[in-house]
Amino acid sequence: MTLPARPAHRIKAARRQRLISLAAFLILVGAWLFGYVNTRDSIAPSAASVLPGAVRIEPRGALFAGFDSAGALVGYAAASSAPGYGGPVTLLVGVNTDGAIIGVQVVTHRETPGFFRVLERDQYYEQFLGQTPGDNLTLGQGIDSVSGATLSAEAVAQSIRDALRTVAGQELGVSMPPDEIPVKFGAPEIVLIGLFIAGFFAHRTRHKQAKKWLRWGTLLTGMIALGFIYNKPFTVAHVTSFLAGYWPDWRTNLYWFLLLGGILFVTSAQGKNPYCSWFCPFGAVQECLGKLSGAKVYRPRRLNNLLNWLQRGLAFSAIFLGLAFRQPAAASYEPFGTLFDLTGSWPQWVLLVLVLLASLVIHRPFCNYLCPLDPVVGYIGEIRRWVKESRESWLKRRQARA
Amino acid sequence: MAQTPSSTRLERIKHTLLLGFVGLCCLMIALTAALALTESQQQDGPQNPSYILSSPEQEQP
Repeated sequence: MTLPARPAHRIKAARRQRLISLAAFLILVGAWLFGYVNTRDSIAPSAASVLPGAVRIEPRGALFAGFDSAGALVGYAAASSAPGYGGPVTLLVGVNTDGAIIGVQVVTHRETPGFFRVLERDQYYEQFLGQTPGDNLTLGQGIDSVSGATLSAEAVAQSIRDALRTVAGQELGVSMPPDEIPVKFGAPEIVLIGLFIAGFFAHRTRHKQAKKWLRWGTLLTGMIALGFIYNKPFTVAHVTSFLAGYWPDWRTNLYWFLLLGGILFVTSAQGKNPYCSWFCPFGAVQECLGKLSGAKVYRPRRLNNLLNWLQRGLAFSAIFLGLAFRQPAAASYEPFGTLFDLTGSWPQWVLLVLVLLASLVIHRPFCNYLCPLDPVVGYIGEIRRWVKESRESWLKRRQARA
Repeated sequence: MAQTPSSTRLERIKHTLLLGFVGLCCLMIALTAALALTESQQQDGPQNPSYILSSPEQEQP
């Protein structure tokens, strides 16, 4: 199928837009390199903090041995990392000579601060104290999970298991079997696949009424399941983590791959955004509020350009900061978690209240003016268009030569 | 359709309200990011760990 011819002023505007996109891309590459250089060698564990009673620390290969004031061995400390929601979570784990965990320190993490604090509040770490290589340290089996911060809890548990395995194997002569991580495929993954399939068919159907009902069905399912029950909406942190290379373990975070992969695949293959107006839970909440009060789309022509660039600027800043500071989750400003999990900083609460009140008057105000995901998905669509146009002009040139 | 002075004024008020809303939201977004990034930077690395837990020191014999 050939693309429709565009008028000259549109071609000029598209060319300018591509130049700006290219500049934005180069700046993001710069931010990526800056973040990489500045976070690479920051881990030099302070082992004494996880070995109570140790006054002297000696490095032993990848481990640290701690000795008390009488020169007796207190135990060993090992650092280990595992992928969490926003990036790697690095822990330092202290183990005594009997193989029991005696200390845990979070050295670095890239999680949303409010959610990561939940682990501390729910005394999640306390469960690991006294555990030995023979105990079951798997989340949901020997270790209780934490509602609302499952990915962070899984990363912490995996880091501790790995560190304990290192100490047990290298210093205590106890071999811990490697983790048998089952592929986590449950209700959230099934719902997500179902929503993608429903969206795919709804896009193709020509029956307007069926399309309308399918859309409301996916929207409400997305709002209830992906929002209020599982709190797993798509955020800019997914995009930044993907770009930063912080990919989680596919077996424990299959949902992450399905969501991000599904959106990337459908947008680049079909050129249509399968998420925002189909099953975004926060968009659905705004739309439901708007339906109740009869909210209308409001996008004045005079302000259209300004609003477009403002939204793109917000998306660009979130990705730039996330890459430069290697903090994808911290730079993700959407108030999704504030609504669905009632967790957030005070500006996020103010933002949420403002958006919900505005939703009573304006159709989807957050999606239309502030959400960083629309420009991101639009950017993927733009790349798709470039590729298609380049391919067509190449084919034309080839035909002319022949 | 020609615009009356009152409709123009109403339109201007609407624009101002919209820009005020978007501006206030942007301010909250900037504060959200600044707070989260500051907190993450303060609690990062072995010198400023975000969390330490250790069992009580064992008594020496």
